[in-house]
Amino acid sequence: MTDADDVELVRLALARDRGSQRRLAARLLDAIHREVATVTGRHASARGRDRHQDVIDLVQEVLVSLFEKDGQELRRWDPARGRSLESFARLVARRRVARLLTRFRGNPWSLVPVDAAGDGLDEPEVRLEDRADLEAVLDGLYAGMESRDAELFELVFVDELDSDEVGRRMGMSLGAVNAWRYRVRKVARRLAAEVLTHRPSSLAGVAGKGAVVDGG
Amino acid sequence: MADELMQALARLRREEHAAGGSAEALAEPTRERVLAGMFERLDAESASRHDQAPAQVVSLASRRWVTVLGAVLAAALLLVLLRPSSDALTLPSYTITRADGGDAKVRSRPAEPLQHLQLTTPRDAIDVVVTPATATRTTVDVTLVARTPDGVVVRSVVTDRVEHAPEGAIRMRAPLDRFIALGVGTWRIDVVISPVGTVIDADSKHPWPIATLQVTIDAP
Repeated sequence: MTDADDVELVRLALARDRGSQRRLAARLLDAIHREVATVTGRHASARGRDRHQDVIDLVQEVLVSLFEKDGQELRRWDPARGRSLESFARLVARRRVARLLTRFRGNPWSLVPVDAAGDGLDEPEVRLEDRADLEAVLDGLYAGMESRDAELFELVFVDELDSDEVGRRMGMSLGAVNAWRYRVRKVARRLAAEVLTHRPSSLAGVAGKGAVVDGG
Repeated sequence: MADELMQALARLRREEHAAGGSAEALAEPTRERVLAGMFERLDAESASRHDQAPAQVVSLASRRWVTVLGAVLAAALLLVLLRPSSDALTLPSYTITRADGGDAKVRSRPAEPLQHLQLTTPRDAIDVVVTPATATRTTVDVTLVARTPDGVVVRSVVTDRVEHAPEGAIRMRAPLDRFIALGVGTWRIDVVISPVGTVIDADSKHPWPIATLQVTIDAP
């Protein structure tokens, strides 16, 4: 299915055409399921519980979140940014799951000003050597992200596009992209510091600038 | 390096992307259940929004009636009867084969074509099954049109909130207010079974099979 087909399907679905809503939901169901199953998998295995029903419930939760409130979430999909509808749905799923799984209180993003800029190094670097800690930070990041943040994170850090390209796709100035980049780093560091603080045998966390992070 | 934390997070995220491809696909019945549940919740959200604005089919006098009833306790009765339409075009007639819920002491009068249930509140669970006279695989819509004796009319399309058996039986199994938002008092509810896509208006005549429920609710 092409983006043009998807654009038309989304348009009909947002116009409350029941059949189109069903076709769209059925089309995205597998992508959402893959995302939910992957992210919940590590949590469930860590707790040794059967996660099948949890996954099913979460998949439905994500689908509802796309269509509810007059399709507010779904309307944010813009194929001009280079992200397929399927990929967009997976990002929505990632954020939704993170909000349910995260162990952080409050939204760390709200603690960092939107226009935060600078060298990004005024927060101490932290050392994360435990994969579970790193996963917790990633969950914490996604849990507080708006749709746009999640797209930016994928473009900037996961896809490693340069800031010019990110700005072009997202309709942002170079300065705005860099400000966002600094901001997310500050949020991540705060989350990492919090993870270390609450570990039974804390690694003391603060390792100074340029400390090593092991995500493997 | 200042971005090492971000690089590690991005690496983890890329691993998630890669792992996603190995997830097993959901079985078809599970997919159907997920989609049905999604529409059920979206319909509930939509109904909730509509509840905040008076429905157009509710007259001024009826609105006053509903408001008064919201504070009144009354006796409750659920009466189920079948009224197969003689001019149904492609669908068989339907009969009520189960009507459970509410007060079991008064819910059933098996000797009569009518069955009785007593609900304390609209949140009481009901379990009503409507079965076709002959098996049918026609995809149907299910619409509830509820009326009070003094003319209040409430309509609700419940196609995605009911269970559809392969041979055509329809089961409504949930709290009553999951299907239709009704106040205290006695309601006559037409359960209209029609080919999918059919629009059933509250006041229009149509050729499709109808099962009629009379519901009286004790308390809000």
